[in-house]
Amino acid sequence: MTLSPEDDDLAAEYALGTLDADERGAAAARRAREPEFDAAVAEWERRLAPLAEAAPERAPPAPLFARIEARLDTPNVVPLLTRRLARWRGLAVGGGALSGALAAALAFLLIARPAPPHQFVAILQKSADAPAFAMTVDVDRLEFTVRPVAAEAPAGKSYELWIIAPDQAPKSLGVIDAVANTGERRLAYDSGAVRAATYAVTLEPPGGSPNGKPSGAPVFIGKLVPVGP
Amino acid sequence: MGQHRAILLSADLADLLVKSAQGDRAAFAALYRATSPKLFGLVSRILPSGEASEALQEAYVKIWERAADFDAAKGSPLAWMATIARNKALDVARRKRALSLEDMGEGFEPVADTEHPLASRDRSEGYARLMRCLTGLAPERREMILLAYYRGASREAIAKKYSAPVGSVKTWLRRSLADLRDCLSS
Repeated sequence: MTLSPEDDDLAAEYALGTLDADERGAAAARRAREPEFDAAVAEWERRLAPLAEAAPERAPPAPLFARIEARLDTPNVVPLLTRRLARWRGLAVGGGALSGALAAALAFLLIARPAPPHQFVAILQKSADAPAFAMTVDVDRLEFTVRPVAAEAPAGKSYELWIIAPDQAPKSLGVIDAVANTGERRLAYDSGAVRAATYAVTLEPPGGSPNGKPSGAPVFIGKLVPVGP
Repeated sequence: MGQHRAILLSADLADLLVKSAQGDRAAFAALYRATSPKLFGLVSRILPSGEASEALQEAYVKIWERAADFDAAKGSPLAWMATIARNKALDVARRKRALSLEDMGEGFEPVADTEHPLASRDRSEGYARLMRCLTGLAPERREMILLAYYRGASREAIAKKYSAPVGSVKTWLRRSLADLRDCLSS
């Protein structure tokens, strides 16, 4: 399979950096999900990278390396989780190691209790540095929770959570204000579909989509990854 | 030139990356000393200084964590690190606000039109080839690509600078990039 010319153009603009915040976030999410698109971006990054040679040098602030080392040293649960989870490629948008913010979001989810073997999480996000919602899903009991990490809906709008099972239309899991922090909710799918589904958040009129369909493109999106032992 | 430039040799940097991937902090410190002025030069032209420091810090944490992913077959160590740093800077820039070229501090002329691509002896063959291809673009199109690369200019910022519709800028950028790709593969 080859990438469409439009997708290659998008990969090129992502690498050049000219996309706006929403497009960049959406493209970053595609990098995580689509190896072909990721490879196209990497190819464009390689084409443009020689330009870096011509950038004039500038000394960074002297204390910066100490701050970087301190980050590498931080002996808390976040780097442990990062190492533990790093092998699940595609969790962090961008496909690499988890960002600090993302790892912190996971730690926030997981510290409270040890993860049972059927526990999965999805971080719904726009870019690797900006996790917005954290979902936990128990694929045996078909229950989920969702919590905001850093997202606040614009005035007069609601965030609505959707499940997009393979080959199916998006189905609402509810308006997030209503389902967040209210305990676990049921999923009306079999566990295979729940595991394979994409989870997305859209901006909707207050109270949610009027017609049961997403009103626009997802603003945050994510897939499940296992967190159990 | 001299000592400082010498350590930017790809083989040295690749060695430091391999050692960093094995947890060698001294190698990582040497890697930082050798490369941080270049990487800060890149990110500090995309972001104001406070945010540039933040982006550089995040970039080196990622370089440490992902050092094992570096693949010499796919490019130079500096290119790999610069891509990580530049992506961090762009993520911060796009997240924080819409960037306008007026916000971007001092000017920067990445390539003088008069400079011969081969004038700088310490630049790579890849750089020379890319410059030859950039020289094939119309001057305004070339400037847009360079503004985007070096200053992190978005389509909107470019549209504002050239008083052109954003849709036209998108078309121009994509055509220019396609021309570059074709030129580089010829």
